[in-house]
Amino acid sequence: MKRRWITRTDALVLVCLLAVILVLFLVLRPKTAGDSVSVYVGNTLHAEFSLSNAPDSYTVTTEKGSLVLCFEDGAVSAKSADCPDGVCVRTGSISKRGESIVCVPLGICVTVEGGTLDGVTG
Amino acid sequence: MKKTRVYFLCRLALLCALAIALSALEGVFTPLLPPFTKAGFSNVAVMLAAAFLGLPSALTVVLFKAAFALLTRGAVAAFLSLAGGASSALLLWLLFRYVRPLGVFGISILGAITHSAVQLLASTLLYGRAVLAYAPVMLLLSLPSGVITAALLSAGEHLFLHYLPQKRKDQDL
Repeated sequence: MKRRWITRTDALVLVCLLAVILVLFLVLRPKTAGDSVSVYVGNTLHAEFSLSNAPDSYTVTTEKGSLVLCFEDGAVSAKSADCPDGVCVRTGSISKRGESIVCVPLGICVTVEGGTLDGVTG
Repeated sequence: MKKTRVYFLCRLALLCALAIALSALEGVFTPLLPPFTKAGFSNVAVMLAAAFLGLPSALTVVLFKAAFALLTRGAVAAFLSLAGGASSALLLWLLFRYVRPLGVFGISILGAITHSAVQLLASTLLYGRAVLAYAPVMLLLSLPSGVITAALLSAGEHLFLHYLPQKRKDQDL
């Protein structure tokens, strides 16, 4: 085999990729507490809540099933959902801007938003 | 049918089978990994195809992988598998063919990271931009995945070249 397993260029590529990922981590890291919660079903906004003034719980209903959100102490968590994997429930509670709970089987995405940096956190 | 054509088809079929077997094996490890991540073993087959058999073969292996995903995990998984697989197959082929200074390690890592990045972009079409919150974790995890793929590749490459009937001397990786 003429091509080697690892070369100096490879190491350079690895360092560059690590640097890019580190920058992404720093840019996308949730820093400040958010003040509102948006619930998306697919790509459409389904509901919006203020974290300081939210109901105790809210049920998102889609044609594929429903997901129960629980609001507590300025944070939101998924309590139960009609999905097989339960990834959204295991995500736990979120309160920082940019954090999200995603339920892929139901196509639901719950994101904490607020403040002026929305464009950065996406 | 010419003899070389038979060799070629035989190898392509083996790689497709390998891709599906490795995809199934990935399923075993998936519960141990963070949500929405997969080990990416099956990219070994795509890399072998891209390195030895050319771009059309690599894309064929990707299609087989996507078909397997369609049968076992549904249309969304198949779409994401196809998007990530096709783009990384193209990049792997270009790197193997035209970029001499890179080693197997670097090519594998670049392939893995392309796979993840394109898959993320494709999933924003389905789930909206919020999915991008997973970008740093997914890209970081694609580095170890690329290393594992490269290690499996160098093992697999040996088997591929030495234990299969060959007509002519194979080209180098």
